[in-house]
Amino acid sequence: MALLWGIVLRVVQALLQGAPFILTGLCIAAVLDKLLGRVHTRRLFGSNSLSSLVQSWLIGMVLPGCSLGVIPICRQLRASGIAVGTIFAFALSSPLFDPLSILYGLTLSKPLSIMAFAACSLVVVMLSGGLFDKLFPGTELAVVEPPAAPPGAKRMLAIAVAMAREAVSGTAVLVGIGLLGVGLLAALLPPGTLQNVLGHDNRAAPLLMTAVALPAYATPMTVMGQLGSMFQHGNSIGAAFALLSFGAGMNLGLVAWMWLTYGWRKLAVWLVLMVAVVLAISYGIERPLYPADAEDAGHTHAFDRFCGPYGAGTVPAGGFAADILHRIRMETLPHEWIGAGLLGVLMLAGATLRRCDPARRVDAWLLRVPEKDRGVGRYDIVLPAPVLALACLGGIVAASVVGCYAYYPPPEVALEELSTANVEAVTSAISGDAKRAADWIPVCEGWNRRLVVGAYLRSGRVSDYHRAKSRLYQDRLEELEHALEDGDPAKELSRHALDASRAFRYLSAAFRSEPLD
Amino acid sequence: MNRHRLIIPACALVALALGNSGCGRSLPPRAVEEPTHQRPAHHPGSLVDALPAIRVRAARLTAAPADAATATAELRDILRWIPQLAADTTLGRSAWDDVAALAARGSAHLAAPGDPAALAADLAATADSLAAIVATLPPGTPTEEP
Repeated sequence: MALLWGIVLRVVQALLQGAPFILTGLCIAAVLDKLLGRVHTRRLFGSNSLSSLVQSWLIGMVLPGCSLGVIPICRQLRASGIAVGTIFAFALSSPLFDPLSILYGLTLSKPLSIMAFAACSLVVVMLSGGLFDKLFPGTELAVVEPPAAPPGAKRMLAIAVAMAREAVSGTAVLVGIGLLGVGLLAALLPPGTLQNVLGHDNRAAPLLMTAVALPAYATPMTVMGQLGSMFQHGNSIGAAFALLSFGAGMNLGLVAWMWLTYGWRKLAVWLVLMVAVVLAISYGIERPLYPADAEDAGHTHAFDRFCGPYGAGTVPAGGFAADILHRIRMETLPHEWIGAGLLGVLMLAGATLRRCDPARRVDAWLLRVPEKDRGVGRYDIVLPAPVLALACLGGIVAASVVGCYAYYPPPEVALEELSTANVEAVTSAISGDAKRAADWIPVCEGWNRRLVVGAYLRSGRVSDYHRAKSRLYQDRLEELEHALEDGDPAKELSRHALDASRAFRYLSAAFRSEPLD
Repeated sequence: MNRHRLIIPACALVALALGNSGCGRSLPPRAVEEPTHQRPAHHPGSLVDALPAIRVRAARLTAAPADAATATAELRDILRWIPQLAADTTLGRSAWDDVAALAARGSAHLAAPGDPAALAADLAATADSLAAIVATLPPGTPTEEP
């Protein structure tokens, strides 16, 4: 039972985390389909050339996405006749970074490593994509541009209908397969399996990470947090790069799409190329990028999410269902709830359309130009659909940048939230409520990071002094977490809790009274 | 059907990698023997305690080569830890910056080849400068691990 419930928890967690990105992916795919059109899509991304690989990588870097969210976009790129290598280049690069995760990465102790990882991802895309297109030339398709909806409300409605239909099409199945990969890992890897095997001194760490990260699914933000933890704990840098490439860049759903669309042979060649290039880079950067001042903690909790949450034979207090609900409530962020809600609405609309309108009469009506053209007003301008498409894509990028300001609030707001979470964690630990303390410590850790990133976002710099205070608080939280896990005596728990509380006071004083730059 | 065909190679990949690294069966000895986040024996525990730790090891730099090598390695660690130890005090930003700069300068001197006696004197002076800053801390600043 523990295994089954563990799978349920991990799949639900992944679905909720991925929901905003899947929604964005559906929106981008519909904009490409209904506004930009296939010819212009092909022009935007390029096809079957080295420059198209760079173009796709750049577009992927700018647009927010995750490896589940790129599935509908890849399907649309394929419908636009774009060559396989170019599509794969986009599919790999888009999930790696987004504005939220880049900001997070820039405030890590080693931002240079993140920049180097981004450059390495371009090398992966260029090498594997270029070689693939060389091996399989002529994978472009001749496409016919389907009729476009007339300007006005119908054009906008056509996008919504396309999103709804796509949400319950093959994309949904592929996303489901991607999520199954998360469940598969939870079933195969007992809790804590990956805590001690990704050290800098383990030569097999990049290889192991490749094997684990391929079926895993992680959002760019999750991966960036994991990278930060790996740098801090002196884990393998090569494994960190493999994690970024495969954990963020791939999932089983994407692999399934490649197989169904291009067949086993092309999929196998692509995977072999990818794995070879990523592993070569991973082992190549292990020494040069390993931080000289890294403290090898000999373990990491960064990958606990890839493993099963419940040990065999264990039953959480209150039962599995209650524990899962509790964890989901504690961990899920507001934008994830909103994304999941909107995705649900979209799927409901798509299912209704599919059932009530199998002949696609609605789609035909949307394409029909009104017989009586009312004409346009003197100041009305009919914008060409591709212009609107580019404006939409620009709007998505702009919205993701604006979203950064909401996700990373000003330091005073973050400190207020952190203060509440810290009180909960510390008082729970002191009063012996280990479960409640363990629930609140990750919340404290999250707000601690958001505090630093929010300050960086607004002032452009965070001093070493402030970083040291943040790091101290993080260390104290981790020590408290370990004391709770080890079942330390009450006196020890109180000491760790008071240490964490003191570190929070120093952190708060630093951000409230000392200049950031 | 398709799903099953996908799961098999994924399982094989995971099993292969886990088999190669021994994951899940035998953990590296260090992970079994050492508790996580355990501090090395020469970790001073606090900024106040770091000062005598530096002085003692600086004096050992002119001792027998083996002892000097150990002292050098431990000094390197201690100087690296000093900014974090200073963060666990009420020092303001300006004083903390001075501490971090002194630690960085000490580390640079330690890394550069030179006369051990001169290096020992230089590190003792660094400890004195740090002591002057530590003296500004209010009474009750933690001095050691309980």
